[in-house]
Amino acid sequence: MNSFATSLFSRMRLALFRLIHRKNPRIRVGEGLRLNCWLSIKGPGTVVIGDNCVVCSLPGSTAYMTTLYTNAPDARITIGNNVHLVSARFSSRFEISVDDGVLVEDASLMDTDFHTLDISRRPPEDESRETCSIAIGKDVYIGARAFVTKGVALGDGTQVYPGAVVQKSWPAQTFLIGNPAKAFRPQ
Amino acid sequence: MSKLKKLLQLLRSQPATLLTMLPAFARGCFYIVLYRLVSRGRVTIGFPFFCYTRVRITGRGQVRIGKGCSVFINNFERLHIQTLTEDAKVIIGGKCSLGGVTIRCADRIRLGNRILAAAVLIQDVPFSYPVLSSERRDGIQAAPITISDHVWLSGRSVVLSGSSLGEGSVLGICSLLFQQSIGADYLVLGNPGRRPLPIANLLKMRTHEK
Repeated sequence: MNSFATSLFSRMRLALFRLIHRKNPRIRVGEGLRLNCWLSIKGPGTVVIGDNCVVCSLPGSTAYMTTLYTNAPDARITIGNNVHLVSARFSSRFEISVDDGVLVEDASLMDTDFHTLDISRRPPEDESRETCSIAIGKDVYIGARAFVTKGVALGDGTQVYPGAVVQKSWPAQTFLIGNPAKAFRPQ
Repeated sequence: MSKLKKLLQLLRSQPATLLTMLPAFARGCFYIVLYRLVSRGRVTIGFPFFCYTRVRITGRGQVRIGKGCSVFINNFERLHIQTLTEDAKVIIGGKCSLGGVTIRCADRIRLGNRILAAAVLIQDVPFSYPVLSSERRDGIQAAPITISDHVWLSGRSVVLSGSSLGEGSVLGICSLLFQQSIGADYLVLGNPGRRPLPIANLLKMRTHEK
């Protein structure tokens, strides 16, 4: 009964989601998307979501909906198949690409600094698509309250533990913790 | 009798405090009755429970909260205890102050008496969603967390699996504890927690009085 109700609500949410974004060609959603909580997409950029993705929040938590925001017309968020977004927050100015089987849990991925260091606080001009894009490999786990900054590429199977702030790229199968994130070997 | 005297003294000295305490007390009674009825014995809350904001306890595991705990207002998070598996056990001691604490438990979490906490995340698995869903439950290991009496967990700090804090220790602001066991009377700072500093030496320095 309970699972039936959740599937019914997720279908209603998906219908509403498709109704709202029906005239927007820049948002493409694959088959079998499950919306267990609301997915908010804003901005002028492109958002592509693969097949069998799940968008949810942890049951009973006051945590928030998943947000996929783009800040420029040529910004792009690409999400692969079987990705679980558990109240994740994305903000893109260039490109964020997430591969298959990734779990993002209450974490933020942002590929821009939003402002310059000087007092005018303009949008930064020295950022480019080559240096600032984020690429997340297959089966990466990103834990609660973690943060992935610009220009980071994570290899397949990397696990970012809760509270980590990732500031540079790491190869496959590493375990990251801390601010700034460092690799450790689990016992 | 002495308790009644204390209450009368409080009413005479600061009546506003008592006025805010009364609804909190009523709310606490409501939560005690609610969770006793709803959870079928899995959740037990000790009798004087002062609850200034919402409390949410979910999951199928056991939760025990001691006598005289209070939940203060925190703008961002409420007290939220979630047990991820059926064997999970959360034991909280008496007279704790739990404002904005989030607990996600898959194995065992034990908090002592008289703990101060604010907007803390206590989680004994690195990733909690895979434990809940049947599709992704592989290689996620849980380890118990033990926090002793009189510990102060300050704002936005995180306690992760396999860590323990001794009696009277302090976890600094925005710091993180992971697979470390800290002894009694230490201050821990940093993300991840650096070398603990003994509090007795810090008190000897008394930098603020010079």
